[in-house]
Amino acid sequence: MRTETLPALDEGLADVRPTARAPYRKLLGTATIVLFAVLIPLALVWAPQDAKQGDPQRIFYIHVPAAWIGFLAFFVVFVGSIGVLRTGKRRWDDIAASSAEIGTIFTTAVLITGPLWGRPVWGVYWTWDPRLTSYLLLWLIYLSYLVLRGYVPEPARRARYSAVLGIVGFLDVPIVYLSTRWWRSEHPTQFVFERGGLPTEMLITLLVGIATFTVFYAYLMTVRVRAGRLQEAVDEEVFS
Amino acid sequence: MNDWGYVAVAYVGSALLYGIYVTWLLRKERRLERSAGDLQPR
Amino acid sequence: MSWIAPSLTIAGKDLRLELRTRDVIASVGLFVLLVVVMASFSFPTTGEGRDAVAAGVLWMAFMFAALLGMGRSMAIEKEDACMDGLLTSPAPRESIFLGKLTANLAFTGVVELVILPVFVVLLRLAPAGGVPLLLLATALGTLGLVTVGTLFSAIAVNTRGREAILPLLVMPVSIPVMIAAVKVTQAAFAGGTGEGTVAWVLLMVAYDALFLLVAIATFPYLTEG
Repeated sequence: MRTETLPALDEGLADVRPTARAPYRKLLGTATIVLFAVLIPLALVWAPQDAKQGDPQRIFYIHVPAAWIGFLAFFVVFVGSIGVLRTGKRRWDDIAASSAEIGTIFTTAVLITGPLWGRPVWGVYWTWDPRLTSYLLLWLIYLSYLVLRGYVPEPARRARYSAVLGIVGFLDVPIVYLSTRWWRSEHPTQFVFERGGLPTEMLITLLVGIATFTVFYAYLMTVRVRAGRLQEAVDEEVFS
Repeated sequence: MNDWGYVAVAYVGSALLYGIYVTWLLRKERRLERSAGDLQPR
Repeated sequence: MSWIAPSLTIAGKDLRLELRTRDVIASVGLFVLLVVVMASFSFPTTGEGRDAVAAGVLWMAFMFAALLGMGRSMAIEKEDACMDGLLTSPAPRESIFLGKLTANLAFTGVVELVILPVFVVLLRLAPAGGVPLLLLATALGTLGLVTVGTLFSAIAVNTRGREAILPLLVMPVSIPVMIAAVKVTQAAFAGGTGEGTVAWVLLMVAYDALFLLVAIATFPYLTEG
């Protein structure tokens, strides 16, 4: 029941002036490289071949972590969007926009690796099962978020509009999952993924994968957020 | 395409996707740093 | 409850405007009618999948109707800075949304109520006992679609592409309520309740309630600046 003016987006110079590179950034970057260097041999050689699916199952080690990051990134977009609306501070928009762009990359990777795993193992590139369908929708919502941002040149309005989309979109994803789950249950899916009883080596490899991708996401965020703020500074011709 | 073919495309494809993105992002940052001039750390 | 009066006033304004010009209903109604007629050519009129395909086509037509109507409705506010007039009035922001929502529901509802009998006749469907269910599905599905659409049309109309971006924003987000509506409509065409139908109806109710709340909460932020 608010009729008084809402916080306008903070356009103060102090908020826009970019910082030097974050000190922990190099650490994150190095950690990412190290973790990938460990993950790849683990996934491709050390992990045992799956009894039923054979070697294509190894795609799982870069598919599932990417899917996890896709969700995490969208959650960060959600949090950032709420921050934009409640506080009006630009840094929340920087976070939301960066996470959306990065999340789109990971989600794209999920939609590419998924069919590549599905084809040799189950014979089809695509199926309308709940997980894949929700993921496709997630990707589409990400894209519409990015497209919307491209269509609004004014920073304050752009931040607010994408914030609303970010909130609505995030709340929608679990509902999409539930509804496609019900929908497809009338034609039982063949792809029941037995997660219980993963052999230890596979579990370890998966956990390494998740750690790797999380660190990678964090690194990308530090770079992207800074790039975003630099862009704003350039757009508004703020020089130190 | 045999089993390892799919694995190869998936891994190499992902690597390309992430690699190109990171490269593009870092290049963009460098370009913006130059445009914004010398920056004082806060 | 100081929202009700302003909402009704705003809705009334839109409806009176529409009655005078018949702008939205004519163009949207005709377009949707054409879609239905053309779709029914490529249609199995008998057989297994008929109810499912029929339900799907019907809801696509409804979605077109809703999107076109909502885009136009918000665009009207942009002309002659009507929105500024609304904003400087003492009406709370939320009731601007509710007023717009009510008007959009009315427009879309009228188009749908015309399309439905045409559809049933053209495709020789026999819903019989499923008619109440059909109406329920139409009502709940339209509410969900128009709630999200009205919220996003407030965004779309202020972007470079104007209303053109509205479908892009609305369609992914409205997938759950669309699936549910199609499922229930399909059951209605088959003549009665299917098994999981209650679950689908509940999903629509939950979706409508959730996004109505979210829309009311976030709409005020769209009217800033």
